[in-house]
Amino acid sequence: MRRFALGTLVPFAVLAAWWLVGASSLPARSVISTPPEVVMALARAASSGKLWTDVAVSLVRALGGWAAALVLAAPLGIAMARVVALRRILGPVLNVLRPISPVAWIPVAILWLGIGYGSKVFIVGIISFFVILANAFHAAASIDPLLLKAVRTFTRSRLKTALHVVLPASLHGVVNGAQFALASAWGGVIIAEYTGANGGVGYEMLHAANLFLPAQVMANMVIVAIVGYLLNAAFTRAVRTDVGRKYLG
Amino acid sequence: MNASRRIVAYLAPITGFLVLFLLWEAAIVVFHPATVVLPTPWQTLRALLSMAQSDKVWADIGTSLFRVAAGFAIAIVAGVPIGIALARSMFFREVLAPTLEGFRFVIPFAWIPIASLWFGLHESGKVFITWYAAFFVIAFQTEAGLRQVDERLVKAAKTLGAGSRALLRKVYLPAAAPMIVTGLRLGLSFAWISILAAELVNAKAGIGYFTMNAADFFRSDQAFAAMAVIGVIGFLMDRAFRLLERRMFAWHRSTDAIQ
Repeated sequence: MRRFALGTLVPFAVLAAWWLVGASSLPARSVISTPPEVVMALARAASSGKLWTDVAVSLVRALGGWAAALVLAAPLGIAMARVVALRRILGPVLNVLRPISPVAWIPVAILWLGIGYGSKVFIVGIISFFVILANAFHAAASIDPLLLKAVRTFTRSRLKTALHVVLPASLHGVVNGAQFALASAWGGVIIAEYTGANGGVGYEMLHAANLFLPAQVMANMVIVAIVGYLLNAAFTRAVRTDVGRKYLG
Repeated sequence: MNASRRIVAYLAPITGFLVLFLLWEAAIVVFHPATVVLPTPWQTLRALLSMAQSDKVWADIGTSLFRVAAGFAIAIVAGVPIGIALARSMFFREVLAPTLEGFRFVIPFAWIPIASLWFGLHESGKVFITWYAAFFVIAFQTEAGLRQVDERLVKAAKTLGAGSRALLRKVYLPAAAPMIVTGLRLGLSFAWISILAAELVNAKAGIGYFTMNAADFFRSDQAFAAMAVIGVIGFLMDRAFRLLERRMFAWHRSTDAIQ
């Protein structure tokens, strides 16, 4: 109880200060709106259905790019860690591409894929890809060599070793990477929707800013935070179910 | 590292570039894309060379770097002490941690539109974004670094009569330093990504603005060249911190998962 009270102290103070300034006649008033106005903007968007369509549009883009990256990057990361030839060939190429900030791909993505679903999924995919790749690689590369030597006394089948030893031992890296990547994917779709988009939470937020509607902008910021939180919570919960525990450790 | 391995280490990036260029050329030979869609590597290289002679491009790079440096500096000044306080004071943690955890979900990108309302095109708006992007990871890495300090070290120092100030300076901070520096490295890269995002959306200068502008005018050769510049800057930032980590903390194994 004491902890809860202490923890809510700052948020309440911030809310109170925000409300006071928003209701005052200070010049800042016009650009910060007030808490009730933001709540009203949220309620309006929710009741008109706009909120749900925008969230759905952004979520589909984020999850699409994330899933594609997961399917590509997780096996590739593990394979690169265990197959020297693959690492020698692909490693240098990927290391040249990796430092290019995913954000820098946005103008090119629009040129290539237009302003719809494709360019957003592409950006989200690039962001997620390298995060998952690095984590999968790291986990698969740090399998105890002694363990692998022990396995070789039982079987020389590379397929069996890969399926029963390397894959299970790398899964925690894939899961960690996927969780980081999910957060990055959600951020990525927001920024991708700022430039050349035709819908989604990011698009609505920048649109509201261009129309000088601070309450709507802030309502969308709240949505970004809530969806981001829920995505993370859902992922954590999925990993912790019985099925998740069995397969993902 | 023996000589042959060193040669391999130097060759790897070169082969990376070569393979990439070959793939790039192959894509052009096979698909015959319009220059707008995919310029050739040579067109891009030419754009890069002409950009290198343009004062305006250097000014754009300087503008972006200044925005990152300013926000990053403020994030260090604010983040490290707050991280220390979070780790050392129960009261401070109970008061501030829930708020910080909550704001963490309001990602830096989400502040870009409201910052454009608050600051317009003024530089302070950009610095606000880079500060925000770097602050959280620096504060939380500092806190985590201080919390994982071996209690035995602390007890030993106390036995030898260390006060709380000496404890912080001679035990906690040195032991937490590797994680703090990792936080700085990640903070800098977040600030870098965020400034590019902010410049794509709302700016009249900066390398992110340059890239978007080039694409808007269908100068994809310049857009691709700008991406190369962005890649090199990102690489150098990351490499500088990794070298620092390796030099200063050879005794510590890096444990960050994001890499």
